[in-house]
Parts: sequence; C-alpha cells; structure tokens
Amino acid sequence: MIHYFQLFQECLPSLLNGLSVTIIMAVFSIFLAFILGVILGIFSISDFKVLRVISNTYIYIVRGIPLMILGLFLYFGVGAVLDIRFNPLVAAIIALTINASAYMAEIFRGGIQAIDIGQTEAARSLGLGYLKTMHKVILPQAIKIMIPAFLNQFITTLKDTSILSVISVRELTLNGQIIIARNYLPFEVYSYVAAMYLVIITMLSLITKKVERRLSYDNKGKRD
Amino acid sequence: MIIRASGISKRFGKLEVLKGISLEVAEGEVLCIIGPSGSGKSTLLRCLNRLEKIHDGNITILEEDIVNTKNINALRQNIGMVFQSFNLFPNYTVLENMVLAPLELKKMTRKEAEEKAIALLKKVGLEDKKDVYPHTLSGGQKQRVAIARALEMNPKIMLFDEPTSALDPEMVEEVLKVMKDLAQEGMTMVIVTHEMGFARDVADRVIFMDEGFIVEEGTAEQVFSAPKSSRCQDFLSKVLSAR
Repeated sequence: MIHYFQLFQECLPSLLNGLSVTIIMAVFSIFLAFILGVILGIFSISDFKVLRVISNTYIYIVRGIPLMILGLFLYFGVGAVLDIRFNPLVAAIIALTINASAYMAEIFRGGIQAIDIGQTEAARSLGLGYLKTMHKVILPQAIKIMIPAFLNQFITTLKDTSILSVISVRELTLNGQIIIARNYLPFEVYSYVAAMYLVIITMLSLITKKVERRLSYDNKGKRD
Repeated sequence: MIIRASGISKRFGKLEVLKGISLEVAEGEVLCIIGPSGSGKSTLLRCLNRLEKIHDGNITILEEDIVNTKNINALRQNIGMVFQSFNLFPNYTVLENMVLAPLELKKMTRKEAEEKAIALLKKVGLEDKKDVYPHTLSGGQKQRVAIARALEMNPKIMLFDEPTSALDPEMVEEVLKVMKDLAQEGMTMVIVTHEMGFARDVADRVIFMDEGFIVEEGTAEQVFSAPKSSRCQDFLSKVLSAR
C-alpha cells in the first residue's frame, strides 16, 4: 500500500503534465465544437434547403466515422498528402472539434424542434419577426432542454481526448502508457490515470450542475 | 370590406384542402365558420394571417395584399389570433406574455403596455393572475389570457381557431362570454367553432364548409334553421342531436 502511494508521487509530475494537455484539448475542442455545432444546428432548422443539406451531410459523415480514424486520417493521411507535419495537439483538437460539433448540432436541432410549433405561431401572429421569436420565445425554452444533453456531450468529449493518444498527443493516457513502458506496472499506473479522469469529470459535472440550477432559477416557467 | 379573399386554393402535398374559396368580412362583423373536421376551416383561418401559404388566389386584409406583402409582421399586428391550444409562452408570467410583443415592437412604453395589460386582464376577470406562470392556470384561464394577449396589440381583426375545443366542458362558458363581450363591442371576428349555440347567438353570418368548399352561407338563422344543402342538414342534425 505504501508502495502504491509512493509510486503515485513519482508518477505525478508526468501525469499532471498529461492532464494539463488533456484539459487544454478538451477546453479548446468543446468551445470550438459548441460554436460550430450551434451554427450547423441553425443550418439544419433553416428554411434554405442548401443549408439543411450541408448540415445533414456533415452530421451524417462525421457520425459515421470513429473518432480514432478521424484523428489518424487527419494527422497521418492529410498530413502526408499536404506534405506538412501537423502538431499532434492541433490535429487532435481539430478531430475532436469535428466529431463533437456533429453531436452538438443534433442537440441544438433537437432542442429547438422539441418546442411546440404553436409557440412560434403565437409569437409570429403577434407580429414578432423570426429572430425576435427565436430570441425571446423559442431559445429560452429550448436551452433548458438542451443543457443536460450539452453537458453530457462535454463530458464525452473530455473522455474522448484519450482516444487521441494514438496520434502521439502527450496527454494523460499517453503519458501513463509511457510510464508503464518503463516500470511495467499497468495496474497501478492505469488506476492513477483513471482516478485523475474521474476527478476532472466530477469537477466538470459539478460546475455544470451549478449552471443548470442557475438557469432554472432565472426561468421558473414549466412547459404546459 | 376589411377581409377580402377570392379563389384561394391550398394543398398539403397532393391533398387539396381549400378548393377556390372566396370570402368577405365587413368591419365589425362576426363570422363563424362551421363544418366537419377536415373540411378546411382551420386552414382557411390560418391563411388569413399567412400562417399557411396559399397556392392560388388572393387575400386582402385592411386593403393590403397579405400574400405578397413585404411587411407581414406589421400587418399581423392588426390581426389577433387565438389558438385551440392557447400557446401561452410558458417561460413568461401572464403579464410578461402580454407585454412582450408591444415592447419588443416598440409600440408602447412599458408603463403603457402594463396598464393596458392590467385593464385587459380585469376585463377577462384575471387581474389577480398577472404575476403567475401559465402552467398554474386552468385551460379556461389560459385561453382568456391568450385572448387578452392578442387584444393587447390593439388588433382590428380577431381570428379564433376552435378556441374552446381543448377545454373541459365547465370552462367553455367563461371563454365564450369573453368572446361575446368582444363581439358586442364591435370587434371584427372570424371564429372557427364547434359551439353551435354560440355561433347562433353571436354570428352575424355563418359559413358551413365541407371538403374544401363553402357549401352554405347565410345569417345564423338561415344556416341553422333552414339549411339548403343536404350536407349541411346532415352535419347539423349530427352535432345538434349529440348535445
């Protein structure tokens, strides 16, 4: 047991380095994927068929490709064709962004479409324009529906960062593997890695719970 | 004529729901549209404020072409609409529901909008409910708020799409009373309804629709007491005997 904690202390600096890369990757890709996802989500509920087709095709393709393949393809495949050497971290953030944005677009679309069409009709027949209807009537209700799904996706994306260890991003998982290659103690080291993921995901869940509660205080109305 | 529609056709896919309907409503007139479900009466009403686009014909509201107008939002401010399912905004209180549109559209100051809203709530008997959220109201109360919300915009025309069909029977009367008062004040109203007694009492004119056509048209007395077409006779005997 003493050995277990001593080993943890020895591994900690390297694992913390990895953890910080994991967090950077997650923060950037979640942020970018959220923006891209909302844009694609707006496309998918647009009246313009072209925009809907673009969005649906994107979602269809991205959802059909495993994240690991997307990462490998970008880092090795695209890198080779364009004859550039991607920074693995950049390639990983791009891959995660592409992947998560498709799911976030679906969350956004689903949230908007969950609101009864009568809400739009009532607002429009009062003379409110499309944007005002969205802003004042539809979005405030839809966001409440979207939030849990978005939070879930944030956590998924955070965990998915470990998949990008295959393109040599020095994040938490890969740093753990490097330590194991030296000391042959996979049980101990993977347990440290798992515990560290658990801690940051718990922290993310707590923050998001707080946000969720805040929003529901601002917005006491229930759907009828 | 405050509403003028001629030759309007509307399809949903291959299904033709309106087959060349023409209709006129004078200022201050109360027109009730009756007919079996699927006859196109709700669709007709929804075409009048362009919630549905028509495929053929033309509609003029307040001397403006509603089919081709560039400024549909301005025109809609003059046309209040009340829905079967109330469609109050659940994220706003009753008062906020009412002042949202006039404030967003800069039609009134907050003070004016709130004063008017409270006066209207008093009129529909719900001034004590101004700060509650819609989910705490009964169906009849929701519909009265919805009517007040539409009136807040000072519309010249009110459209009602089966306003009592989603209500429990004991709440129908309170909504009909508000509508009756409104009719007596001279509001121009087009009402799609299954309340035959109400239509008979309040309507200046009644239209019976079936399968996308206007089959019968006349005063309430003519249509209810002496319907000419067999389809209308048949419909009336069914709904009236069911009561």
